[in-house]
Amino acid sequence: MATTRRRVLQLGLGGGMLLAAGTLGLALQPGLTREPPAELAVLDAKTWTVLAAVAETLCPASGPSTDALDVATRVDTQLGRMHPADAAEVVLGLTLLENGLVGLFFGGGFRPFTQSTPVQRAKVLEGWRASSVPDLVKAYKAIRGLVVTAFYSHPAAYVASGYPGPPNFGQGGAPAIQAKQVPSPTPDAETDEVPG
Amino acid sequence: MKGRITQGKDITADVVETCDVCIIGSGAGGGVLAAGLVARGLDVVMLEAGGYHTRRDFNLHEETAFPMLYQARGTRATDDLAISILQGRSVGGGTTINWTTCFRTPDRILRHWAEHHGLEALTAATLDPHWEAMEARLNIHAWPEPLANANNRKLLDGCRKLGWEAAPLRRNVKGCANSGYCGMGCPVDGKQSQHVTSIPDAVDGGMRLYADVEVRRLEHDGKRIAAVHGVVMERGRDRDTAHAVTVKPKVVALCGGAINNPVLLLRSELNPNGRVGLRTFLHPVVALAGIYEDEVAPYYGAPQSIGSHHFIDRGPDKMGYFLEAAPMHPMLTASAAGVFGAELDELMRKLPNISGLLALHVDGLLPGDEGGTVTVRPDGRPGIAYPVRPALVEAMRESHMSLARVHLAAGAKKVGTLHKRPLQIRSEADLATLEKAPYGAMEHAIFTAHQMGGCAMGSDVENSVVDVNHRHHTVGNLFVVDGSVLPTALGVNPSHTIYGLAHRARDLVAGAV
Repeated sequence: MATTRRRVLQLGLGGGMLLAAGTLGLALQPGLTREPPAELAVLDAKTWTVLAAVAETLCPASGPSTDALDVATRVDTQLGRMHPADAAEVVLGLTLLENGLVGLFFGGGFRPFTQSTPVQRAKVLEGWRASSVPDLVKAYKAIRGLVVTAFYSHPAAYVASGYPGPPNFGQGGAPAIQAKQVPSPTPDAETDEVPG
Repeated sequence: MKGRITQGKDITADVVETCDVCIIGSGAGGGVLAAGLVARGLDVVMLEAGGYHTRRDFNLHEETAFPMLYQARGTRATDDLAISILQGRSVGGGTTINWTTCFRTPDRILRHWAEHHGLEALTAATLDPHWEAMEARLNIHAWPEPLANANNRKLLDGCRKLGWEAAPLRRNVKGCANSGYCGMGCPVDGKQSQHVTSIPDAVDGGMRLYADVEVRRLEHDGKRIAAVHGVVMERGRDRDTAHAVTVKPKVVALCGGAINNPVLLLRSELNPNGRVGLRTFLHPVVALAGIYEDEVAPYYGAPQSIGSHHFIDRGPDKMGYFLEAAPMHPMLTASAAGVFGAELDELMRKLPNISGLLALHVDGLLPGDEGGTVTVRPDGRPGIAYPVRPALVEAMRESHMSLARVHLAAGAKKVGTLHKRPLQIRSEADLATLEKAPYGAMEHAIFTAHQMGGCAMGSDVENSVVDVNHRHHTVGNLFVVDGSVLPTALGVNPSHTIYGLAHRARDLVAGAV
């Protein structure tokens, strides 16, 4: 993600006011902080809690829970492996998301994201997704990408998409169930004439 | 004497090497070049920023594969995040994770290069022997139509019903398990990737390959490269270790691919005419999901086996596009969809019945289409700007219409777009809505799996980076041998073009030693 605090400010009056309002909102409305289940690489308990709330909102409610899949903690692990500048920008996005006045701006109510109802949270995220402010859309895309990736890449979530999982060729010490390999024809030298 | 592969974890002190040729990058260009140089008796050192992995590491789970085998752990994108960039990063480069589709460079592209970029030496006749050699080495052959999976079959059926051209593709596989996991590393070495073909050939002949070594700077005096300076990376993290690898070669071959090659040249202040990083082309891709009553299982079976070039030439002032299928595993599918919550759940629950079809747009051929620009950010990482110009917007609108028609003709009950606000098409009557939808950056998902250009080949020393023989215009012992030299996009998947050019470049590079 290429969003930086400076770039957010560079958005002009609207962006600057948004950030200022958000900062004020943060001061007025303390958010919820949960205890992370493990030591964190990049996030602190506050931003981890925001991320966990984001994950609950973004991921399907009918599959395994995002807590059960440790989505927020696994995203934190990914952040720890990313370039520090990218990770810092994600943290900035989460901090901004938590701000009560930012939530108000997007119809989520004058409450920190972690204190908002599921409907309010969805409104805020939808607001970022559909925003005309490019950096907010970028922040949404970056955070959503990390969360959704962490959820749907977990083997326990395969059931949520009806995906039976990969075949087993014996990697990782598992007993191999060798799929039948297809006999390959001999190479041909035909040219690939592309129509048009 | 047999060479060796040294991994970053085994480098416990600074390394200094001397050699005839230092090859930076181990993908389609670097691998083929390395085998050719070693066969000519040259002493070769290869540096690869990614790790060295074999089929035993490929467990076919996306959570393992993407961080292990892709640039930026699978998160590379343009600066505005409008275009997601899938690009390989491991020994074998893009060939370890590509979907095996092989085309020779189309004649129309070679003619365009001759006319507009002074590359008259590149003709089908001069390149044929190189392609034939690579087709034999990599077992490139047409994938039998009956083996096409249901996903590709939808493309074939839809095109045929519409009277549009579509045909089986050629693939570089031998003993393919038809599993569908080419993008996560082949678990049976059926894909003839560079890490199981040319690179073992080169190592058997004496090449020393250092994995996990990212080259940061070329030391030069403006006329010759004196040394290549690399840093050993911590596997799986964007972190430097304390150890450096320095290579002092007679000749340097830059084979790190589009995006990474320009970044290295820019970092090294090797951009005398200001052309490095310009004309970067991506074959920008859009996708539509067709939802069918019958099971498609788009995650199983050879990922790409059918293609259609029906819309490749849309006239002199319009951007062409071609159609292919995409494997759809849960993580990649969910990432591509912009929606969340219940909407995402509804889409993902239909995954077994979804067919994913792609349109790839041929950038760089129209007058004024300069593609994107690669720069270096202040922290040294790549910056990638890709303006979505009106011709591409128009083509993406048309390609959405084409993909929707294919899905409907193939029997889809519903077709979904990847717009910011997704559209659903259930019949031809809905196509008017699709036509009126917004198109462009951030309006819908755009991807690329084909990165080309940034070190353009050309005869005009003021407007290109290397000459037709891959040699840098001003640095005599520097060659660029991979997809970054392509002066335009190709209109076909690029790997075989790169194999052929690298095969041709063997004697050119060897002759400079």
